[in-house]
Amino acid sequence: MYFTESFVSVMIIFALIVISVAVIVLLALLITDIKNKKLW
Amino acid sequence: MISPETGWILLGALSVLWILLGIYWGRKAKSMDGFMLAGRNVGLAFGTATVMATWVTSNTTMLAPQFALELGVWGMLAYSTGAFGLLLFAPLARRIRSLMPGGYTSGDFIRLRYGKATWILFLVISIFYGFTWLISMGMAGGILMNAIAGIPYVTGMTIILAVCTGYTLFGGLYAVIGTDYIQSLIIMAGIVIVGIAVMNQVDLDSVYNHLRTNKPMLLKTLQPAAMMAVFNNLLFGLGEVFHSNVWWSRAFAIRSEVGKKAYILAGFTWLPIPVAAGFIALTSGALGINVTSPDMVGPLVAANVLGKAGAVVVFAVFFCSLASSVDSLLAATADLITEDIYRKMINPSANQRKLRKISSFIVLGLALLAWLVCLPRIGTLATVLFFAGPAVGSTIWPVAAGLYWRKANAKGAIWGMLAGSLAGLAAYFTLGWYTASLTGAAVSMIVVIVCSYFFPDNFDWRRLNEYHGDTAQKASSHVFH
Repeated sequence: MYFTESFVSVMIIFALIVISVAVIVLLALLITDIKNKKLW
Repeated sequence: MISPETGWILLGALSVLWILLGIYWGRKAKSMDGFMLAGRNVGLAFGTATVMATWVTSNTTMLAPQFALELGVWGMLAYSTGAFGLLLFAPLARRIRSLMPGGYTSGDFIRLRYGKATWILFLVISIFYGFTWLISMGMAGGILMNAIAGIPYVTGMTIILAVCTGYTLFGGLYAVIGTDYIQSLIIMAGIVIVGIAVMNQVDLDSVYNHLRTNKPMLLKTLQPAAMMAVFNNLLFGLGEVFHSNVWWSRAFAIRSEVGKKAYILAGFTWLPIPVAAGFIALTSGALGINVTSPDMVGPLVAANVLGKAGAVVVFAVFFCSLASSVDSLLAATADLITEDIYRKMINPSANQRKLRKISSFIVLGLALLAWLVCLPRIGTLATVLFFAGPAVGSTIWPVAAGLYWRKANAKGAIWGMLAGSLAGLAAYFTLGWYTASLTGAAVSMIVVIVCSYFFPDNFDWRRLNEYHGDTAQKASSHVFH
């Protein structure tokens, strides 16, 4: 039994998408914290 | 990969940036609460980023590809299970903050919950682990600078340790957390850039077919050793996060209302990174790259695909992943030694100025000791890191049970840690590194549960609030004077 090509492909593409979204989320959180004066 | 001149320029630019930012943020550290815990008011953005960046170590970016190369798809998944440490620590972070509003270290908890003997054993394990992690980071720094830019091993390792020591000394946790934010963005952006570049160079179809033909074992769904590695890594990760003051200090530092959320977000952000890093390694065969050292496969592939620009990106990613962990380790281990050993055991009447001075000396001493141990290359990164696994795994149950279960007691905690560590070490040498944490955690769990059943405690949670919740008053008395 082997991992299928589609499983491996989806896993890798999904990982790259999640990391990209995480960058955007972190930037959005920073802006929100600065606006609400809750950075520190 | 890049010329030593480019390497020196990059190294210099990043070093100056972190030190300047450390000095800038460090101006906020006007008290011990500020220096050690960034004022206990860190917001969600900085909280999430610091947890995530600290957990992305050079081991993530070097060992995850090595795992993928040696254990295949299961290896990538095994490394990803490290995220469960952060995800499962999230509720603990909230509980820690509510039970110990004025706490400083994980040692504080063990001392108040289980007493002096368990506390001392815990400190030995925790400091040993922190130091082992620090050494593996220092060594990785030297190896990477040498492999990517041709900078001599000792020089690269020395500069990384010196820069992190510098800004940690100036700014304490303010500097650590502030720089972690920028470092986390560089790490994630860099991994995505390299991942996409690799996909542009070689399609997933070719990678899969190359593996299926030449290394089918890496795609097998049933690989006993790799599946053991999944559980071992999961438990190692849990143990690392549950006991280490690196994570406890952040639980104390992040605002109480967002601590849990920060750990959950960081866990989900970290989860895909070993998969992306592992994928980069798996493409090495299809790209025709000759891998001479498995822990260098990530940088090799990136440089091969992106050329000089790729090597620059990889250099920045590795420097950030190293710095974000080395600074945290220096700060958290120094806090543990200052608070638990110096203040609690040696000089309880020390004022804040004295404590700050001692803390600075300890940061310097730790860095110097790590530098001395790193001078010769001891072994592979996995060997160094996983040697601490059994002891780390054996702390999971004493910590988790101690936070939620009144019946958990000192007997169970101390014997759980001792028996778990010894059994785990025996497994490390007889069965393999991939069983060590698993054995340590399992034995410790049995001991903690059996002792709680036969010698039940009835712990009063209020005893954990050493300062009786008067954090504001305590904080004001912690201003340096």
